[in-house]
Amino acid sequence: MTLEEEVVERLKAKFGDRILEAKVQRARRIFVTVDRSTYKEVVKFLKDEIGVTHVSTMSGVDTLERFEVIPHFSYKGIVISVRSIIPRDDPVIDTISDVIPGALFYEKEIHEMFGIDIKGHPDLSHLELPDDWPEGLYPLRKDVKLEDLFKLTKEER
Amino acid sequence: MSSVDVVDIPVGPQHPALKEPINITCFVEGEHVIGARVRVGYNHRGIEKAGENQSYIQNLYIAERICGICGVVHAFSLAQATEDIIGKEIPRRADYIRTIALELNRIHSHLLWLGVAAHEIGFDTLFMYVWRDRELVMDVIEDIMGNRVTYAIVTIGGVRRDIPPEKAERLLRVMDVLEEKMKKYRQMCIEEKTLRMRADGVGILRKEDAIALCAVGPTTRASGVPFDVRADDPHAAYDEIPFNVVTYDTCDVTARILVRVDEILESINIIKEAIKKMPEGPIRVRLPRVVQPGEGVGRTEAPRGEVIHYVKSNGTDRPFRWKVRAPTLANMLSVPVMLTSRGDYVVHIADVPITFASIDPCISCTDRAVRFIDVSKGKSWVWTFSQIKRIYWRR
Repeated sequence: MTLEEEVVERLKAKFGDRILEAKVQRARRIFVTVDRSTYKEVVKFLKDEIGVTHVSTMSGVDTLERFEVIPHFSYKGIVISVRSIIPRDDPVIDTISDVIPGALFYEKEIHEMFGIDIKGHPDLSHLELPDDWPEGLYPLRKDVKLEDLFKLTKEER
Repeated sequence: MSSVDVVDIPVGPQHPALKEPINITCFVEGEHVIGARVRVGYNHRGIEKAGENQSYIQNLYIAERICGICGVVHAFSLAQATEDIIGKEIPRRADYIRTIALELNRIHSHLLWLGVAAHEIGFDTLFMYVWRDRELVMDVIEDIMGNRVTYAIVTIGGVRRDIPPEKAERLLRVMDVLEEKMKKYRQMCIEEKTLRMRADGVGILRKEDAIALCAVGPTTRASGVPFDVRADDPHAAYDEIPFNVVTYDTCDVTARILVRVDEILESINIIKEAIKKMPEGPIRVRLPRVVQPGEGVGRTEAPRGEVIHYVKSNGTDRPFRWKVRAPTLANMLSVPVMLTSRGDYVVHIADVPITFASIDPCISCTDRAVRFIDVSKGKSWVWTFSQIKRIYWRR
């Protein structure tokens, strides 16, 4: 059994049905899908039991039906992407920065770009956007069109 | 020390170490920095949003322009993620040419940084020497790829230019010359007192902090963590070329200098080996312009550390979501730790520029001067890095 399969098996053994999907895409690429209620437990399990210490980044995705927050963990060369599913009308997710402090900035980025509230994050001020950025405008959401952002630049400056 | 007031000193946002906008607020007590806060975002260009409205091929060229120094790593990562979704292998010769491009990129970037670091500590002789020899690499890059800065050599499905034997010959000759020079500079970095006095024990990032804060690249390797994407997650031709992962465990600026200098020597060996082993054959396969639904993660070791791209496709010729994380952002969390005096470790204001420069910050990739705050007087003022240098060099 390869290391990738072993990680997937251990996750399935621990969480059972709560792992909605787990696949090894190719050597050193794992994609796992969980609900947001299981998300933090999975991250804790990865850190404490498997020994993952490095989060490479966190991607946010807006599929128009739901939000996805995908932290990409790096473990012995394997990228473990844990997709957690968040309903679009209640965009809240637990922070993982208390488990892996390296996630602090990536969660800030997700917060300002998608308007997903990160529960338990110590500081959700802007990371990349300016301080006077209009409240409630989350640029990477799919319903925000490029034209809206262009208009903003012209009017504001 | 406690009787002295704490002051806020803003350094930036204009003209920090590498002439790019960033703001570091340093909290100082007299001469000692007791804390720091980093604010990025002055250079945010919205490339991820723009990428959702461009085709994959167009994005390749945008990706190359994310960074003016290590652009090829972004083009490579995007191409790798897209090829993962399509699920096609690319020709082996293309892998080798990509490896050579990545390594040439690393050499010129590390040389550039070495020059900047020498300049930051006032050792301009080394700066001049190193940047003179960097031109050797830049010229050979132009010879092979056609451009000095944006190589535009990586494409989805392979590479766009071959390396014919006569160019490989010229490349090898330059590598021999450079190897000699690099050995000399390595000796200089180890023995030169002016450099060691400014760099030893400065900008300490302990191993456990580097791991917890997920630092990447030479910054983490200088803290004794052997994290190198080329070795852990072999892409391109790194699985067939043996090389050493350079680590040092003194955790200071000296270690970061030596890691990079040693890595240049490793890169020279990788390039020589790659040219020797490079198989014959085609350099690209034609892949569909419309990418089937799926997702892929591309990553490589940039000169500054791990680069990771996430691509989600939806069956059109444009990515549904394209996420880029450049290495400087991953190292940004470590900067306040390096700039915080604790116990015996004291950070002086004069060490702020070199400490910040030691992560090799690339603001245009990350997005994105230094503010000083006197804590007890509640006073705050802004100095640019050049001002700090002017004030302290005079002394």
